[in-house]
Amino acid sequence: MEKEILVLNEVSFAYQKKKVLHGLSLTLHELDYMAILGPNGGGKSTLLKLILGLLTPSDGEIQLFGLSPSQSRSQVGYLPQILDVDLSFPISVLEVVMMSQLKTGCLTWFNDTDQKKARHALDQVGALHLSSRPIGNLSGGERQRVLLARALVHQPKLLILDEPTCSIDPETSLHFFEVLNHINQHTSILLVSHDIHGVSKYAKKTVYLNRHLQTTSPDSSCIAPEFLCCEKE
Amino acid sequence: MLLLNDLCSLPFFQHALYACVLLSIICGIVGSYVVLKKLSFLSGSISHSAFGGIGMALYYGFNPLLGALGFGVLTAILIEWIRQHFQQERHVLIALVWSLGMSIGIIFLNLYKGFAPDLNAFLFGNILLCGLDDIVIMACFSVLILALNVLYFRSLQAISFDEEYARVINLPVKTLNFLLSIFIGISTILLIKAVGITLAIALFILPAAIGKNLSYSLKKIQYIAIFFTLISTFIGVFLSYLYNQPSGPVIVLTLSFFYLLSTFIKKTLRLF
Repeated sequence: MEKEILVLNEVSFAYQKKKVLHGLSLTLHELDYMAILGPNGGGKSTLLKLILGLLTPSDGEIQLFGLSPSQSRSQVGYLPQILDVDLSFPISVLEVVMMSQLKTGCLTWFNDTDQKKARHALDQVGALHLSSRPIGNLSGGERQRVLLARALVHQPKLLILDEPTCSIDPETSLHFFEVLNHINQHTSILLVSHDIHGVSKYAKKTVYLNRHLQTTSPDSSCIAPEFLCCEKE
Repeated sequence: MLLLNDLCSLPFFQHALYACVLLSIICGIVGSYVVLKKLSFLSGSISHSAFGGIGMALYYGFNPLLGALGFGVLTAILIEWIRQHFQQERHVLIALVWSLGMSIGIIFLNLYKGFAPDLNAFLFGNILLCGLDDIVIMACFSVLILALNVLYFRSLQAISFDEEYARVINLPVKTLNFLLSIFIGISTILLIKAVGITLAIALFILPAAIGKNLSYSLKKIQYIAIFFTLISTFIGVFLSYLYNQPSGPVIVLTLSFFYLLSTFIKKTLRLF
């Protein structure tokens, strides 16, 4: 029996009085590859933030590796939406990747082992040659590979990705999904995406979220039109 | 050269030069975080609200610098709390704190019956009037800033670059933000002595902005900001004494020139 790593039990969430998610229940097992599809405003990114413990559910319970998200998120690698990252910030690729190895609440600098791990993670996603470049000078695809390396550097058990292919061309996007597929051999994956083609080819499970959840097989042909437009209030 | 040697032998001029060195360290380090975290409004708000503390201190008869420091730190904490809890209305609230401090200051000064000190010293500053006690305070604070920057550089870099991710990797984001805000508050108040309430924001923003034009490494930006603050304050102090002009505006004009020059260099050479 595969081990449960993420359990959502009747989770709801509201921004002030506006309810964004209604009674979601979901289970993710070890080495699963689950994709969450759905329209803009359907609550996909909010769901990821709840799973990461950045937001607190208004109802229901979330268990990540048997604990609350804020207790266990150190076992998670996270790739945020590219729009959330300040690309004009003066920071090199290597510094971005090493960021994941900062220790909580203590004096913070990096040693040789940290550098080696960061370089290994960059090598894993084929971005080692970019290590001294500024993050703002990279193409969309290169940037996503760097952020993926940052998410992988501390060898997480679960990788959570928010719209990883939204700013890259179809060919690069397909390559990105192939890299993810390779990572899935040893790491569970949960991703939010609009890329139905890439998701349907590689994800083992697909969930449709438009404030409510619906699980179906990973076949793009079964995506009903009602899931591609936001549910009216 | 003779004039420069003569000037440097004067105690008040020596104090001004020490203040330049110490303020350069403070501005270079704290200013880089102000620019990168886009907190220029925060420093503007703190410096202007400090006027409330100055007015209150004069009315109740205690040291105006202490009043400014109290108001500045309180404002910094209040604004960080607003930033964390009121995302939508934060610009309005920051502007409110900005004007509220000024208003409180003006009312208390109006109520004050005694001999009012020269307000120009607070509004526009004069680095040539820095006393030994000011230098000691600046030196202690510079050491504190340097220590914080060395010990927490990577964490401060992380929360400035990607605050959400910093929370995911369990960095103490709230504590670091409050700490940074308090340091911005204290630094701003110390700057008032040199360039005054109205120009303090420039000394924070311009050196770090010059650094950002010339480098993509946070550490190098800090070195560049320290260097240009030092050069500009030295030039400012010297010219203001030579031409009998207030030091604050001369320093800001010098920094503005260097900022425009760095922008031109960045555009012309297409740096990174």
